[in-house]
Amino acid sequence: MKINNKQVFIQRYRKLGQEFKEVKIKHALRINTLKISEDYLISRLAKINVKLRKISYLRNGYWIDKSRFSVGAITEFLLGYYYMQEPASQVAVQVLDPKENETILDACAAPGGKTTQIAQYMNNTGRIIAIEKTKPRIKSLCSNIERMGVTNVEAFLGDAMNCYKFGLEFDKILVDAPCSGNFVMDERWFEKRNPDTLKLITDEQKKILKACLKVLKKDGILVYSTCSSEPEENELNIQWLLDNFDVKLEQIDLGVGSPGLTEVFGKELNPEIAKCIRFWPWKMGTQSFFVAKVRKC
Amino acid sequence: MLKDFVEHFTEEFPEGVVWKKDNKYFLVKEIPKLKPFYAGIYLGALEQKFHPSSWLLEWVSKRTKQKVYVDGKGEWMFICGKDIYRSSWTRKRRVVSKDGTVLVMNIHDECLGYGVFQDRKRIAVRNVFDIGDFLRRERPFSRTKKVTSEKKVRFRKKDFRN
Repeated sequence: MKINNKQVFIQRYRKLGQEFKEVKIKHALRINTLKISEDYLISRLAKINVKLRKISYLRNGYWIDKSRFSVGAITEFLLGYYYMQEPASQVAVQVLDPKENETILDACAAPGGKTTQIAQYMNNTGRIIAIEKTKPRIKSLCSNIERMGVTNVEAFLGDAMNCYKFGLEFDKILVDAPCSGNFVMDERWFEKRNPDTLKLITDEQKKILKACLKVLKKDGILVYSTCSSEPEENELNIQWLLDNFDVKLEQIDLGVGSPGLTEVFGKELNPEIAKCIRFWPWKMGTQSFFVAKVRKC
Repeated sequence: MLKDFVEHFTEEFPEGVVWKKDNKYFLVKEIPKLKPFYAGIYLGALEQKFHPSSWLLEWVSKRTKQKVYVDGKGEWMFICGKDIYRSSWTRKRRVVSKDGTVLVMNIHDECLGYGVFQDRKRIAVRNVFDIGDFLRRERPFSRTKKVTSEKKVRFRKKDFRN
């Protein structure tokens, strides 16, 4: 059964023009410039034999090239000087491009990597509304907000589908949707997942997207991201968005990743979807990731 | 408890409105109307003892002389929830309040937590709260946490008898 599932997914990737390869990713972090300068932290970590290397396409992202111990438990980490954050997941906030004094909604916020990244880009100004559905995860979100020295976040326990209850309109919205995940971050992913169960997840993703679009200002930006490789959770959701709402896609110009798929299992999609980006693990050395930048018309 | 903690170190108090939600204290511009789970600057929580936030620790550390400085080994032990031995001090200079409450600083002048100073003992500062709490609170049901807290309780009882 386990092998079957894996083979099914590998066949699906082949139909999408990709040859599956096992990938072991390197650890990476984001330096928190709210608390420390990049140069100082790099030199300080070098003194304890932790070597960082800049990730070319990220603003504050670094590969951990060398470390003899876990950097997720040392003083510098506890003081919030950096956040252990996978490179692909740092891309979503870079695409959102938060600016000082904006009002931003982070619809599915825990554990707070992207929330604290948004606050960093906003230099702790403006207002971030962060929503998380489950109590254990919102505790984790709050811990990270505190550790990273973020002061412009209001975190709410609740469902992103109820975001209209705030009575606010947002300049920008990040929907880092709950998704099926990927095989890079979860060794047992193939055992847990089945293509037939994707529909339940995609239904929830669509509901969140619909609710968030309602509270986005006209001309505002919504960034949709998942860490799934599956087109049902990515390109097909964006196609649904283009078909049902007055929105358009913006080109993502980061110079990395592959374009969004415009043909999925024999179905032609809107060619605009090529403006989205995908991270295939075997091409990028990261986890799977998908990012779309949507503008409300 | 928040006020008591700050008064241990300084007569000043952070500017803003203190908003209390359950056992947690936040510093906000105005009391939030939307009932968030978290807002503004987190100041700390009242557990069995007051657990200050890292922001509050940093804030008081800039306004007090009640500090002890520890070397790298002492720093590591302290953030793991252990007490500080006399051998880990890096500077002789120390100022201690009447009840012995001190901030524990590393060689970079960063506050790692606070404890109670104990003169003429092998253990110099008994750990009350340290920033390693971030990791321990992420694993609330782990065995490590239970053992650590039991140990701390034993230390307290033993110290009391002495």
